[in-house]
Amino acid sequence: MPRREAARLPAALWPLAGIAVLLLVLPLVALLIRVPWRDAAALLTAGESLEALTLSLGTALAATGASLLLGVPLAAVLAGSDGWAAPVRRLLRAAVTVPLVLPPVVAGIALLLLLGRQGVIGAPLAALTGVTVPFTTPAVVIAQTFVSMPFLVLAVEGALRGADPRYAVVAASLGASRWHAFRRVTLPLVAPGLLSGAVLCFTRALGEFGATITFAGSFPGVTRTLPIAAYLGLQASPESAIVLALLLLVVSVVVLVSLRDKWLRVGS
Amino acid sequence: MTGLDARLVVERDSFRLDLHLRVPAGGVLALLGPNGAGKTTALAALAGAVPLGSEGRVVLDGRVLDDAGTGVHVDLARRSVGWVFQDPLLFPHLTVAQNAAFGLRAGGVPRREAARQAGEWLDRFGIAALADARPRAISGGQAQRAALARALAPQPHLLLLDEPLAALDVEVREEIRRDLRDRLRQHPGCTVLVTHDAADAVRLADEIVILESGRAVQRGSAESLRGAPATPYVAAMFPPA
Amino acid sequence: MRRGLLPAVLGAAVLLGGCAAAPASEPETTTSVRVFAAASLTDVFGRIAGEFEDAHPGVEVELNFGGSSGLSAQLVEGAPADVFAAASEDTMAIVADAGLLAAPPVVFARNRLEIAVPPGNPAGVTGLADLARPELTVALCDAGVPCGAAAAEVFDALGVAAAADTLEQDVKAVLTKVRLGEVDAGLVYRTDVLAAGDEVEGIPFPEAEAAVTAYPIAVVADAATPESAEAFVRWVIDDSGALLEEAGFAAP
Repeated sequence: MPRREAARLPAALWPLAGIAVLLLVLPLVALLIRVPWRDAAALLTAGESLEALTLSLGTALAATGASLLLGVPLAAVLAGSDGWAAPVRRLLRAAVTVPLVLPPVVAGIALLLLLGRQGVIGAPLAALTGVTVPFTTPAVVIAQTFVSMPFLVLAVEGALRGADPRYAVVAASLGASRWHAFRRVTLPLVAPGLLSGAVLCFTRALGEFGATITFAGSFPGVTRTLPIAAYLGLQASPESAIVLALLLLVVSVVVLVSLRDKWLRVGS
Repeated sequence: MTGLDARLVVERDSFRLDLHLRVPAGGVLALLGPNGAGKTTALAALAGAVPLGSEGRVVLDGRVLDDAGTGVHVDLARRSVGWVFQDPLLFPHLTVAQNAAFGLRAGGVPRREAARQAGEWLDRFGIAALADARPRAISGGQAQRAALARALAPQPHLLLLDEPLAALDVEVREEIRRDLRDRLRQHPGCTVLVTHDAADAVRLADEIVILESGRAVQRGSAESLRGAPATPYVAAMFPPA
Repeated sequence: MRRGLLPAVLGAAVLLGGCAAAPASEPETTTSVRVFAAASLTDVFGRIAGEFEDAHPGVEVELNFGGSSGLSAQLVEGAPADVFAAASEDTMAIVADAGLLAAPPVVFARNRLEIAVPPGNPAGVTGLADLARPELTVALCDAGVPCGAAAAEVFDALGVAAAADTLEQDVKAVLTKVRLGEVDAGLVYRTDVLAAGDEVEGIPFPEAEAAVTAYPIAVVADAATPESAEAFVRWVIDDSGALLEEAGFAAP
C-alpha cells in the first residue's frame, strides 16, 4: 500500500522533497565533517564540557519531571474543557500555545520580569525570604519548563482525546474512584502519547538556549548548559563549539532513536 | 436484599423514555426492543450516567441511588453497578487476571486475596489458562468472558449487560450464553440485560420487558409473550411455536 | 541603528516600488559601501554614516552590526563586505592573517570598561573591589568574548578574583541585566553606559587603564567599491572625532 501511494505522487514533488531533505541533513553533515576528531576526546572530557553536559542532563530531566507533574493534569483539564465557555477555553489554549511561538529570549525577559529581583513575584519573594531565583540552577529548570512543557501538554491532550472514554466508565463501574481510574486506567492507556510528549519535552529542554541565558544567566557548573557552552565556545574556540554541538546532537538523537524503537511504536 | 426498583424518566429532544423496572434480588430482566427504543439509554440511566427527569428514581436493595425529586445522585463508582458492553473493553495494559482483579482492588481487597478471587472467576468462565495473557493476545470470545468475570468479581448489586454477546460468532455466542446463564443463576445481585436477540432474552432472563419508543409495551415470560403478542414487533420476535 | 542591512533592503524595495510613480528623482549612480562593524559601534556608526552620506552624495552606507568575533568568522567564510571595524585588534588580526585586508588596519578609537549599576546604586558600589564581594550579584562577560577578556585583565591588575554570578555572551546582555535591576553591578564599556542614558549609572575605576580596547578599521581586500570604502575609512579616522567622543570613545 505505501508503495502504491508513493507511485501516485506528482513527479514535481520529488525534487522539492529532495531539497528539503538536503536542507535538513547537510548542515549536520557539515558539522560532522568539521569535527576535529583527533582532539574531540580531549575537548569532550575537559572539565567545562563535562560540567555543561551533566548540568544539561540534570536540568532537562528536572524540567521533564516538572512538566509531567504539572502538564499531565493541565492536559487532562484541556481534554475535558469542551463544555466550557468559549472565551475561557480559548484563553487556556492560548496560555499553552503562546510559549511555543514566543521567541525564547522574550520568554526569558518575561520570566525575569516575574521572578527577577525586581519582578512581580520575585521582589516580594526576595524581601520576605531573601531567596532570589535568577542565576541559579532552579532558574534554568524554570526556563526550560516554560518553553518545553507545552510540547508535553499538547501531546498528552491529543492522546487523551483519542482514548476511548468507555474505559473510564468501565473502571468506575468496577468501583474505581476518579483518581484511581485516572491513574490506573486512563494514564496507562495514553502511555505512548505521554512518553512521546516527555521525549519531545526533554529534547526541547536540552536544547533550550535563549530563555535560559536571559533568565538564568551563564555560569559554569551552575547555569551554563550545553547549548550556552557551545555558543560561547563559538566566540573563543570554534573547535570546542563544534564538539559540544556534536555532543548535544548525539545525546538528542540517542534519546529519540532509543525511545522510538522501544516504546513509541507500541501505541501508534 | 430487596432488588431493583427504578422509575426511569429521560427526556431528550423529541425522545422520551418512561420505564418502570422491578427486578428481585438474584433476578435477571431482559430489555428487548428494536433500535432506537431506548434500551441503552435505560441502562445508562440505571448507571447514573444520564440525569433523570422529574419523578425519576432508582432504588437498589433499599438504597436510593437517584431521586430527581430530592436531587439525590450517587456516582457510578459508588453505586455497586457493574456494566458490560458489547466490546470487552479490557484494560490493554493489564493481564487478564489483573483485569479480573481490578474491581476487587478498587474496593480495597488486598492484592493476594484479589488475585485468588479473580483466579476463581476466570476459572468459572473457563479462561484460567489465560490469566497471564495480555488482552491483545486473546480472541474476542475469550475477551468477553474475561470482561464478564471482571464485572462479576466484585459482586455488584446490579449488573448491566449491554448486548454482551452481539459481537461474537454464533457458536461462541451459544457457549458463552450457557456459561453466563450458570453464573447469573448464582449471582445474588440483580441483572438487567439489554439485547435485540430474543434467544438471549429467552435463555438468560426470568422476565422480559419489551421496549418500543421509550415505553414498555409488554412484559412477562417468553411463553406469555408468545401466547399473546401485544405488538407486531413482539409477534415477530416470538413467533408461535 | 540608522541603516541596518534589512532596513536597507526594505528601503530598496520601497524605492523600486515607488519608481513608477516618481522616476529618476535620485542621482542616477549610487554606490554603496558595505560596513561590518562591532555591535558596540551601533549608535555612533549610524550617526557617522549619516554625516558621511550628507558629505558624499551618491554614496550609500550599508551597516551590518554584530559581535566582532562573529563578523570576522563571517568575513573569513566569504561574506561580502567593503569595510571592517572591529572592537579588538586580535579579531582584526584574524582577518588580516587570512589576507582579507587591502591595507593595514588603523585604530580610530579606544574604549574602556566602566562599572554599570542600577540607578541609585542600591548595593553601594564604589570601585572594582566591590565586584569581588560574594554577597553582590555581579554580571560580567564570558572570558571568551572581548569584554570578558578585558574584565579578566582589570581584575588581574587589581589582584582580586571577581565574584561573578553570570558570565554573559556579550556586553549588551550584561547591560540588560543591570538595566532590569537583576544584578548589583556589571562591567561594560563606557560607551554602553552613556548609550543607556538614565537607566544605569556608570562608575569609572582606575584599573580600567589596564585593558583599554582599541577599535581598528580597514578596507577589505576585494571590496566592491574600493574608493568609497577608502573614503569612508578616512572619514571615520579624520572627521568623526566629535561624534565618537560624544558617544564616550577616547581618541586613539
